[in-house]
Amino acid sequence: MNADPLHEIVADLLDLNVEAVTDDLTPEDAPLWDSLTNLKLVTAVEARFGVRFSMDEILSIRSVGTLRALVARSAVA
Amino acid sequence: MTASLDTRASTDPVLPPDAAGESSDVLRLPAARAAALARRLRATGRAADLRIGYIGNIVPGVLTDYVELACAADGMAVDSHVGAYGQEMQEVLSADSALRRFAPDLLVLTLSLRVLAPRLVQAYPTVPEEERRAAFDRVLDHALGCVRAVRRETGATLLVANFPVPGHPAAGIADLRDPLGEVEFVQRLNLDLLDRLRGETRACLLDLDRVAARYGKDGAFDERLARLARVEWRDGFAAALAGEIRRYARAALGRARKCLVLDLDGTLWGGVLGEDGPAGLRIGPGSAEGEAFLAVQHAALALRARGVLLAVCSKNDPADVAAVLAEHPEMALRPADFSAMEVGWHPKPEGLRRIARTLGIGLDALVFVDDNPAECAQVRAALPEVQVVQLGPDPAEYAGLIRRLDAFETLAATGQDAVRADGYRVERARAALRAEASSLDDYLAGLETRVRIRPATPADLTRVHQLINKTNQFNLTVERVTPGAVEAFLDTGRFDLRVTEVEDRFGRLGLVGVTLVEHGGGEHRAEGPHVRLFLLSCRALGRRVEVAMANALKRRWPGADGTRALTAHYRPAPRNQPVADFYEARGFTVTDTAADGGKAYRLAAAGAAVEDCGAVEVEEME
Repeated sequence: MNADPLHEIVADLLDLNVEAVTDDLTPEDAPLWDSLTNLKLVTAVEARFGVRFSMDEILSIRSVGTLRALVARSAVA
Repeated sequence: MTASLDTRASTDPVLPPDAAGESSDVLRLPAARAAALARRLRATGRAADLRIGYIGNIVPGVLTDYVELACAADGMAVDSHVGAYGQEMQEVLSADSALRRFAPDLLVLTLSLRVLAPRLVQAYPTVPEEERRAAFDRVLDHALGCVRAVRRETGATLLVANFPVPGHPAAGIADLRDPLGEVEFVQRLNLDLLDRLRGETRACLLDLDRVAARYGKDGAFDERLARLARVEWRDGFAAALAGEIRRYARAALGRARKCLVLDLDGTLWGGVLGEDGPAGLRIGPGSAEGEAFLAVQHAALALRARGVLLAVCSKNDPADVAAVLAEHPEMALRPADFSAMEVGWHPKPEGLRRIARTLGIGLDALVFVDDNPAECAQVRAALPEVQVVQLGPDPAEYAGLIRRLDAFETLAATGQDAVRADGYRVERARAALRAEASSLDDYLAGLETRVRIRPATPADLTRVHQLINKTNQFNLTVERVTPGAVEAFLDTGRFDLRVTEVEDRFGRLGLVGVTLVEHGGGEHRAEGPHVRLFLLSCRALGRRVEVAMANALKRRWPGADGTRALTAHYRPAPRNQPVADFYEARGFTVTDTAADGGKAYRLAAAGAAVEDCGAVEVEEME
């Protein structure tokens, strides 16, 4: 079974096993998830899904789930 | 920094298989993947070949990951350190800063006009001309202040990034009429930086503006990231910049390849010589294809002018090829341009091996260019050290592909490089004399070799650095060093750095030999003087120049007993086996032998007699 592409990106950047990543994961759960890594997540997700977030959207990220919702919203828009 | 640099990590266990060897591919990886792979590389804990620091007021972000990966794919282990944001001067000037403790070999300085001149970036047309000029001087002074501080306080080679010329000046097309408009401001700033850095031996311009233009400026920068975290570059542009930094890494470690080996049919000319005959070949004006192949020949000539050796490896009839090279009216390349020729029906790996042997260089110094996929595959399989460039179906692309090669990078084109390619031609005249001379002594006498051994000066440093890092055969210790380390060797309180220049009746061989004696202490913890470097370019071998160099050491440190005696060592490396017994032959006494074949020596009074150098005329200068 292929891993969820969003979870793969999160796992790569936060040095986690992809199985350990869920949509509920927050910066508090992952020591590597600082503000710089948050931006790396953003640009990696943008490149993977062909979307682009605004500054407000970037600042609203609170969990992997927020990222997924942003991708869905941008893809529709 | 004495890591073993002769092994290329083409089978790196961490890098994906397709990335190993094809180093450009890692720069196309998504940034998240690059970050994860770079982390795994660091976790292997291998010793760094090169330490790269980053300072300035742009957060490098994924740049460091891409640089580490790109270098690893090329066999260079890199450690990175990112200095405190916006504290470039503090990091350099304070002796106990994290950056100073990291002791970088390369230091990348990237400055942002957003930070240094915010008013200009925000609304350039509203800023009066005097204020623009003041800002110009302030920015330039700051950058040059960093250059001076780095030169004075560290041993690092500094890469100063220039500034991206804005793609969308605030005044639109009217900007170009403005006295010191926004575009002109940055262009002049970049030109001034270029001028001021040209003469520096340990600082170079990193042409960020050109890399951005190549990448596409509209897609290179990210306003959001700049505002949120002072990251100005998008991931893809950071990767492109990493590719440029790798060129400097390669040059700093002396990893440049030395010889471009070209196929003929379908590579240097259109058509097949054996079938179409000389008159049927497409070269030169008259057809699009012919012009494209002529462009390939000119691209090769441009490399030759940089000091890269040219060679031919082709399956053809040697006499036919010789005739085309000498007589075809449209050829730009002529026989004298090639330092080695392998034309025949043998497999190409065999020809490449012979070319390397003829030129006295390693297989890892060759770049092989061929349009035939089968030949390329055979060379890749048989000789993984050789970089293979496989040409595609369209000759229009070939010249550009050769121009894009980054395998031949050196920090500065030394005068020595330019004469080197000619040197190999002169070498043929020497070979002709050798064939005529009835004995070796006659030959050596006929060469009229003159040797000059003198203390090194700052003007020699670029060449000395190059020679230390390139010499594989006649090199007793095969220690590779950075430009900063070489500069430190000029400190006569700690070191005695001497260079050997050679000329003969055919011409100048130039600066070909280096000896470095460390006065006690140092890495080898010798109590007295210790020979840390002893090396001679293969061009000057076989005429007792090395004996003259040993004599110079003996005259300066006559044999002694006890701790004041001159000591030396031999460190085995992949290609320096022929000099394993050099010191014994010169009268040194072995004092220790290591399991790997390494040896330690002392020059006792009994062995210290200078030796006869035959017909060689030697001048030693204090």
